[in-house]
Amino acid sequence: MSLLEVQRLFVRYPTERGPAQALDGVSLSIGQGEVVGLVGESGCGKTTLAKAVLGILGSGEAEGVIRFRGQDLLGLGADAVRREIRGRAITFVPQDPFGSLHPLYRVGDQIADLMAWKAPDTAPPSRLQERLALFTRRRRPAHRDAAIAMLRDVQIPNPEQALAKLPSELSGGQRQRLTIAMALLPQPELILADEPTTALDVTIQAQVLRLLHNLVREKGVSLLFTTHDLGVASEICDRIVVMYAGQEAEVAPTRSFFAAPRHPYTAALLQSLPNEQGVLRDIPGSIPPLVNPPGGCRFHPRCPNASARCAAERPPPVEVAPGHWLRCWHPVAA
Amino acid sequence: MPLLLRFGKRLVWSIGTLLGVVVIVFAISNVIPADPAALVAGDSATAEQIAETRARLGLDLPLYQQLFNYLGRLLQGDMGTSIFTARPIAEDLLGRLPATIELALGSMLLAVLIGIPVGVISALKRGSLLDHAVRVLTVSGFAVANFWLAIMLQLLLVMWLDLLPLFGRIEGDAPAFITGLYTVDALLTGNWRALGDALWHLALPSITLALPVAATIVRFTRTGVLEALGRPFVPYAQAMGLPPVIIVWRYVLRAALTSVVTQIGLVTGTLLGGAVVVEAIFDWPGLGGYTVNSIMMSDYSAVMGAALWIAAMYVITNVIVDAVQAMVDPRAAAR
Repeated sequence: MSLLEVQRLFVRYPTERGPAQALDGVSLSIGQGEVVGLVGESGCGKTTLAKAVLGILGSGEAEGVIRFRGQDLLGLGADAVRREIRGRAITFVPQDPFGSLHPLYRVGDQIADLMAWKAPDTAPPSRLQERLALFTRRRRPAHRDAAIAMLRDVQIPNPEQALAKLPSELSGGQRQRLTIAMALLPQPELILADEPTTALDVTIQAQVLRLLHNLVREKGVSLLFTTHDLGVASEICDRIVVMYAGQEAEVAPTRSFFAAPRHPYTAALLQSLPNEQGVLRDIPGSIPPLVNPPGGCRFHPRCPNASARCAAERPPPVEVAPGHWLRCWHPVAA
Repeated sequence: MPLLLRFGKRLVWSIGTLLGVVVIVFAISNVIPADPAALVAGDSATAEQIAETRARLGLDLPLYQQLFNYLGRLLQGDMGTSIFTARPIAEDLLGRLPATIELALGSMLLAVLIGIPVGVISALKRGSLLDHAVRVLTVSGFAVANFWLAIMLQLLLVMWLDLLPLFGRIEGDAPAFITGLYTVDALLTGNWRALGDALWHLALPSITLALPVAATIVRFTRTGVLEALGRPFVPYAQAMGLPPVIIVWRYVLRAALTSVVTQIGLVTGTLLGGAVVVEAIFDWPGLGGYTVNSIMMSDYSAVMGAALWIAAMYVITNVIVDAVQAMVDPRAAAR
């Protein structure tokens, strides 16, 4: 059984020009200990998918099924998801380690706040305990020891001293290591990492990526990793999910994905990477609007293989090779 | 230690500020078209007697020399003698200082206790009916003159509803003197009757003074909270499932407070200025009431002394605010 199972998930955001259909019936699954890369351009819905799983869509409305350990998260209710799942069984690594930490609280205090509510050895707080949050003290010395051990795991030098620092006194790479440590501290089963290396210098990106990868492997945590960088995805992912404008286009084991991409969008995406000849090819056209998007397969206006059917009907998922799923009427030859 | 150093540095700087205040106050009292020598000499004095008095008071000297003489006396703690009470001004002021401190502290406490929660809630419910109501009230809070508000509150709460006393600081005996703040002294000595009575008297003047200050705090808290809500640490804390109470009242408010604390320092000036009028209306025996009396009596040395003390209170408040600021924002302490 998969750890996370997303089935036909629709997400709509209200905008002034009408509802933006950010996710259009997306399905996805993540197994125990699996690392899945969610790849796509900005605005393709990868962050929206992560937010939907976390239950923090804000004004967005989700419809469909998000099953975690067999439990339907959308049915569980936002409040219960926050208290019992979010920050506990499912944690998050943000894209921006600079702004995501509170600038005025010391690192140790921010970890202590997290551990006060999300420590793995504690029961989820009741609603009343949360209401009284300002008047109760839930910090434990043991949490500090756990924090120091975890900071050591993410290779932050001098963990004891780091706890007494403000986030602004840490480097970008250290801050991202810190958010990785905070994602691991509650001993989650699934980590959602939203482009966790985008904000870092290229030289540090690889280090942080390897660290994250090693730690989730070591601890057997599943990882859903969103990125727009196919190179990054190829390095650490077991499986890759390509999304385009709120639809998933192709889902495949990493090796099969790079060896034989079948969706025209994926093929175009791979060709847009710098190759040995140093030729960069772009994909003609631009990303469609999410308010009144094109019908059928949303890639059809830009697709070289498109037919009338593509505009009329969304292709169903078809398994073209073991574990390699495709949603396309006219796939590229293998 | 850096905090103490910073504190000390500000204290030294504030001496310069006070010196500036002395010069300004001195200049103003010298351009006002009234002759202190004539006042001191009395109604029936001859021109000769007035000239003699002027020489005795050193008022015939060049202005800069008068200023130096005044500064020299100030350094010895001598602010001159009041024409009106015939007592040393410094003593008069010292006796009245606790009443003003009590009123100012009470008002500030009230303003903060009202202003911050209302500002936060108004920001959280932005655009709601409540938010609009708060906006109308805060704009009125700025616009309404202290003396008008004081009189209206007296009419409503004293004359019609008979809930509060009209004026004064306490009825019956004052609590044993420790700090001079009746409420604090009563609390320290366990004199509950005096505490209740002092609070009962304190209520109306401090509400009057607190309202415009609370309005300012509401506005700045609301803006600060809205700004802080848009910062990325909020969605991160939400993504990690922290309780909303912690996110709003700790993370967001802490970030918003930096600008609010600065503002509290600035509105202290408004508050002390307001205290002059409010003390006069409620017959509150503090510095403000004394200042008004001295102005009425053309008692310039007393006016200068009172202005100087009020300025000193303002400067000290800002040194304290600065220290609080450093505690709220550890990054500021490093600068």
